[in-house]
Amino acid sequence: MCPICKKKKENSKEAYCKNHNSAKKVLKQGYESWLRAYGSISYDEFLKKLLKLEGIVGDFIKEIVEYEFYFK
Amino acid sequence: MSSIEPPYVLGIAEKPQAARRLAYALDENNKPTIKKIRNISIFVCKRNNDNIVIAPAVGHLFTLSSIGKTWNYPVLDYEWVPSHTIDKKARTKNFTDTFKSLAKGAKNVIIMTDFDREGEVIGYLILKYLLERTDAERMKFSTLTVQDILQAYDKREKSLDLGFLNSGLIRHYVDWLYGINYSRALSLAIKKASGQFKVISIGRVQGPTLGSVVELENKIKKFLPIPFWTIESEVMLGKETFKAFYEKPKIETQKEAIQIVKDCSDLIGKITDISEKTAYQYPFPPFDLGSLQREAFRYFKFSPSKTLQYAENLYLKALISYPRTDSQKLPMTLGHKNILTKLSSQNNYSIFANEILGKKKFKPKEGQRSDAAHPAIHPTGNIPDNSLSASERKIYDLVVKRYLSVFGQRAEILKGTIEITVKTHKFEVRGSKIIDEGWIRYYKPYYSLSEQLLPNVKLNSDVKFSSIDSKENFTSPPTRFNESSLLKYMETEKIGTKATRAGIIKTLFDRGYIEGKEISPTPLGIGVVDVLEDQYPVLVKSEMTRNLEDIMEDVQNKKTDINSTIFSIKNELKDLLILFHKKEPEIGKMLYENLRLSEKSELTVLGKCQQCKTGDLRIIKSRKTGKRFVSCSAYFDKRIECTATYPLPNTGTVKPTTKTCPHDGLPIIEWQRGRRKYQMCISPDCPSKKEDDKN
Repeated sequence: MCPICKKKKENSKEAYCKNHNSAKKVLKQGYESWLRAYGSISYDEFLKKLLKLEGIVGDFIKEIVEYEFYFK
Repeated sequence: MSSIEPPYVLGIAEKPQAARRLAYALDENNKPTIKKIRNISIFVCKRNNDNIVIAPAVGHLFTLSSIGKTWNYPVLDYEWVPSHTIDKKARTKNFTDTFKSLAKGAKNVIIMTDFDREGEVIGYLILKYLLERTDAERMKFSTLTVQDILQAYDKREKSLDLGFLNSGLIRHYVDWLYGINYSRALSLAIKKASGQFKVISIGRVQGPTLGSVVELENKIKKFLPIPFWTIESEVMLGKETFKAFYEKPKIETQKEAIQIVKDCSDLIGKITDISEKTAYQYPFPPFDLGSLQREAFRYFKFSPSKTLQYAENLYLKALISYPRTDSQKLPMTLGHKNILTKLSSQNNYSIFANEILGKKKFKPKEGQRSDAAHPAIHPTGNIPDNSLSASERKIYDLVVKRYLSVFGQRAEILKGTIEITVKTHKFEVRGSKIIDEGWIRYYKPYYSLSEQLLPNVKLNSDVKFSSIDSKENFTSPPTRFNESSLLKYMETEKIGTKATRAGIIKTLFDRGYIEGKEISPTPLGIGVVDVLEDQYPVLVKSEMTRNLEDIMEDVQNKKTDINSTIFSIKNELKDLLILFHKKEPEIGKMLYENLRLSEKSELTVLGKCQQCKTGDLRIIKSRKTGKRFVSCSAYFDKRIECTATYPLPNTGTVKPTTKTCPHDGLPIIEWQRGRRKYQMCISPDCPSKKEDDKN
C-alpha cells in the first residue's frame, strides 16, 4: 500500500504508488534544477520553500513533500 | 387517416418551426392552410398547381436498439425502432403517427431537413420506415430565408445525398456499437468482481476526451515549479515613467540576476536606438461553429452547447445561416450586397453597413477551412423581432459584427521602440499608436486595441531609471481546460465532429466524470481512466476514434462502401471485446477498488459534530443538484437525527484541514478558487467572519 494515498503499489519494492513514485522522480529532478538556479540550497530548504509555494505545486508533489518533511 | 385531400407532395421538415418557415415561403400567397393531425401542425401550401403538405419531425424519430434481450456483450446486431418505444420521455409518438397517416396520399416526397448528416438521416428514416419508400427529392439550403427556400425548391435534387446519408448512418452505428458494448463490458466487469451492479458508461469519443482531461490533471498534480528571475525596471522619459523591458525576459540563475542589478546600480542609461515600424492587423476569418463557440465563451462565458442552442434558434428564425458548419468561406454568390443593404436598415449596424456598401469593391476576408455543405456563419439581414432572448441577441450581434468586420480594411498600428543601454545591458521601452483601426471599428466591443504613446526623445541622451530590480518567479503549472479550450483541443486532436463536440463535453459533466469551470476530473472520472489506461488504453486514447473518423470520412466521400466498412468495424470491435473479456476479472477488480476509493474521497470527513457530539461532519455533494454542503452523519441515526448542516461555497475546491476554529470549535476548511486559497470556519455565523467583514 502507498503510505500516502493507500492505493495498491505496482511493485512492492517501490516506496509509493505509480503516481507518487513518478512525483518523487520529478521532485529529485526538480532539486537539481533548483540547485542550478540558486547556486546552493539544501534539500530541506528546498522542501520548505516548496511547502510555502501555495497553489502552484502539484498535489502529488505536495503530498510527497509533506510526507518526506514531516514523517521521515 | 389524414383529412388532407390527396394526392400531394409531402415535405419532411426537421422541426415544427422550420416547417412553418418553409410553408410560408413556398405557398404562392404566403398563407398556407394549417391543419392539425394528432395535435401536430401540418402546413398545406399551393405552388405551381401542386399541393405541398409540409409535416415536421422533432429531430430524430428513430433510435437504434439491440436485437435480442440478453444483457451481455458483444452486441453486434441492431435495428431502428421508433424513439418513443424505447424512451418513454421522448414525445415523438404523435409525430411518428402523423407521418404514417400522410404516407398513402403522397405522390412524391421532398426531404426538407437541415442539409447535413443528421438531417439526411432524419429524413431517410422517416422515408424508409414511416412512408415505406426508398428515395425522395432533396432541398438543400443554408438559411431559412424566403429567397433561399424558393431557390432550394426550384433547384432541388432528384434524390438523397448518399455520401451524407451513409456517413450519418455509419456514425450512428459505430457510436451505438462502441457505446453499448463498452458500457455493458465495464458494468459486467464490476458486477462479476464485486457482485454489485453499477452502470459505467463510456463512448468512443467520451473516452479519449475524458482521458485528455485526466492526463492534463496528472501533469498539474505532478508539476514542480522551477525558479527563474526577471528584471523589473522603470525609466523616466520626459515627465512620465515607463516600464522598461530587459533584453532577456527570463534569467535562469539567481547569481546572474544579482549581477545585472549590481551592474545597473547607478540607474543611469543612454538612449542608443529609436525605431518605428508599421504593423498591420488583418480581420479574423468568418465564424465556423468552433470559432463562434470559443468567441461566445471568451466574451459572454456561454458554454459551447448553449451557444449552439442560441445559434440554432437564430437560424430557425431566419436571422443567421446554418450554424453547424466547418466553413470559413463566404462566397460572393451569397449576395453580400443584398445582406449588407438589409443590415443597413438596422440601427445598430447601419453606419458600418453603409460604409462598406459605399466602397467601390467589397470582398470578405475568408479563412482556410471549407465545408462541403454550408458557408461560414453569417447574418441573413432579416430584422430580428422582439421574440429574441437576451442571450440570442448577444449571439446575433456577435455574428453580425464579425460578418461586417471581414469586409473591413486592415488595421494599421505604428510600433515604436526606444532602446536604452546601461553599461553592457540593454532595455527597451515599447509604445504603439493606432493609425487606422480599420476592421476593428466594426467588431467592437469584441476586440479592441490599446495604445501607449512614446514621448519625443533624443538619441544618445542620458535617462534616469527610477528602479532596476530583480524579481524571483516560478514556472506555472499547465492551465486546466475550460469548455472553450477543451472544444479547441478536441478539434485539433480530431476527436468528435463539429456537431457532437459540445454534446460530448456536456455528457461528461452530466455523468459526473468532470466538474468545474476550470475543468477537472472527478474521482470517478480519474478512477475509470486509471483502470482503462492500465488495462485497456484503446478506449481512452484518441488514435482509435481518429482512425474511425477517417474511415467514416471515406464513406462520406464515397471512397468505401458502408456495408463492407461496418462489417470490418464490427470484426475489429469483436476482437477488441475478446481482449477485454480476457482482462475482465482484473479490470472489474481494479475498477471496483477505484470506485470505492472515489466514493470515499467524495465523502470527506471534516471532524466531530459540535451539536450532537456523536456524528461526523461530512462534505456531501448532491448528485441531483451538484451543490455541496456539510452535514452530520448522525442525521441517519434514528436515536439522534442530528440536523446540523453548514453551507459551502459552490465554486472552487474545498479541502479539509486539521485545524479547528478557536471561536466555535468547528472544522476549518481550505477553499481554493483559481490560484487563491482561503481558510475559513464552516459556520456562516462564526465571529471570525464578522471580524473579516469589519476589516
